[in-house]
Amino acid sequence: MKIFERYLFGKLVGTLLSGLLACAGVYAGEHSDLRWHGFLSQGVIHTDENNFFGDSTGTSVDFRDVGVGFSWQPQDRLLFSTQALYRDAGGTSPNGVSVDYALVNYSLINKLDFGLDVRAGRVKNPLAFYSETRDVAGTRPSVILPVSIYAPAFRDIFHSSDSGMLSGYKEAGNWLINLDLLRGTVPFDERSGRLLIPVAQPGSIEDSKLWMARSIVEYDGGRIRFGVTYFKFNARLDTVGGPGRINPGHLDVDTRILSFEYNWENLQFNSEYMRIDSIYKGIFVPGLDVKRESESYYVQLGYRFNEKLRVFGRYDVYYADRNDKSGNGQLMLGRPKSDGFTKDVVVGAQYRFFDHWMLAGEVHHINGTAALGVIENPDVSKVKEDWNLYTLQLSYKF
Amino acid sequence: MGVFKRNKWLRIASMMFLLCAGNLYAESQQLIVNVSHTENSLSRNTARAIFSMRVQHWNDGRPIRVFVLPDKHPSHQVFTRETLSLFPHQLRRSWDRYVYSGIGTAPIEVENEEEMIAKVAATPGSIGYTRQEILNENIRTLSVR
Repeated sequence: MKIFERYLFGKLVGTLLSGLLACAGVYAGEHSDLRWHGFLSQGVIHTDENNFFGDSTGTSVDFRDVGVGFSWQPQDRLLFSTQALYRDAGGTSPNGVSVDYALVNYSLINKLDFGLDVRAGRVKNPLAFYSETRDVAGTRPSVILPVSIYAPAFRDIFHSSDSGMLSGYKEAGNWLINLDLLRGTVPFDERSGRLLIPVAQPGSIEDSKLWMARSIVEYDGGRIRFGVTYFKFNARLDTVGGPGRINPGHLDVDTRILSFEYNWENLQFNSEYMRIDSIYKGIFVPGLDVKRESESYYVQLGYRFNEKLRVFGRYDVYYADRNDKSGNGQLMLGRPKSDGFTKDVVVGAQYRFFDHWMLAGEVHHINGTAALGVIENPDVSKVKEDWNLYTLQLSYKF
Repeated sequence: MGVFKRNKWLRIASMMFLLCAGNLYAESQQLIVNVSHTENSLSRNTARAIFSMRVQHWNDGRPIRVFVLPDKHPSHQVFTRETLSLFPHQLRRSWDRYVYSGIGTAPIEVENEEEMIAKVAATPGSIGYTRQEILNENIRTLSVR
């Protein structure tokens, strides 16, 4: 039954997308309410130890995003939109083209001080400050988003979903309160499923359910922003168990994120904090619940010389298990202790030019290897706890 | 003595010039709407809501068409900073979120102030801004409260 539902949903998304593309063909050029957009980026990464986004110890260029999409407004309260995305992030994400979103949005109420939209389809999840535009390099505050909140491995599971959404705002004096509510399923594919079940083991993820709620409160046109995100995810892992393998069982994930931003003249301060509580029911040991609580945060200070040039510094921390900050538990999984944490000191700069272009570069000094993909660093003896990462990225968006 | 006098007059002249220039600067940034619009003023919060693309309808329910100049255009920067009390990058962030997550649209960008005036004059329900003198009967100016 579930398989049938998923099949039906996949069909629905596919039909919606091809219908939209057909409409686009007919209306393009003559209909002003059809709008195209797109973006692309190419990055270069070098690390002195460990691999991040490809074979980076030898300098990797496996770091690019290309997206193209459009929106169509057949009448002023109704919006169809879709975006196709090509990503290459070394071994951490599947290469190739995917449907990033394909949705229909209906504006129920759109008054100056109060609004409510209803949305359905494949949507970008409302998660913390940067999740919805995380693949568009030109919108990011840095080449690599803070791994504490936006870990690359996390992206493929919690970045977008097949969902229904309610999205509203209320303005009161100088305050603006935004609220997003979501209920849906995570579109796991062969590759993203591997983040939960190892490559060597056959299995699938079934009955995934996702609930999300986010509120962002803004004061004085966004001078101060405060956000709270809560989400709950559960799924059934359908595997054939055994010693050293992932056993069939349930996974429950509870996540809370706090976000804060303060703008003062040309200075911007950001900080986000996240806590993920995961319960692995029978997955590691049949019949036994294993609970793990991760904890992570970053603080970031940016300075804008003008609309073109911005510099920033950041301290970014992630602990896979907040009750085991030195990572002893990783040894049981056959991984080094340093896989249990990451402490990243970053400085970087961004330069915008010719309206749509941006060149960005940054230097990371990292203690810990939790942000690395296991697939890219399979040899434990080569994993180094202290390492540096240098990256340069050129991006374009329209 | 003569030098002192000349300096004094120079100072007075330059001060007057600065005062006039300051006034010109402040008065010349105008919020403009198509003649179909009936109200005479807008609160700053409403202007922000419209130019950030959060609000797409006037109070009477008609759709709003928003026109803007490129980010780097001096008039855009002055308008954003002085009328909206925002930085251009703050507006851009709002538009980016709508466009790249598919839940809304960005304003329509025009090349220059002549095109801005022509587009606002020709489009019912439209809003824009300019520093130029307006000699177009299809355009009205709005004050920001």
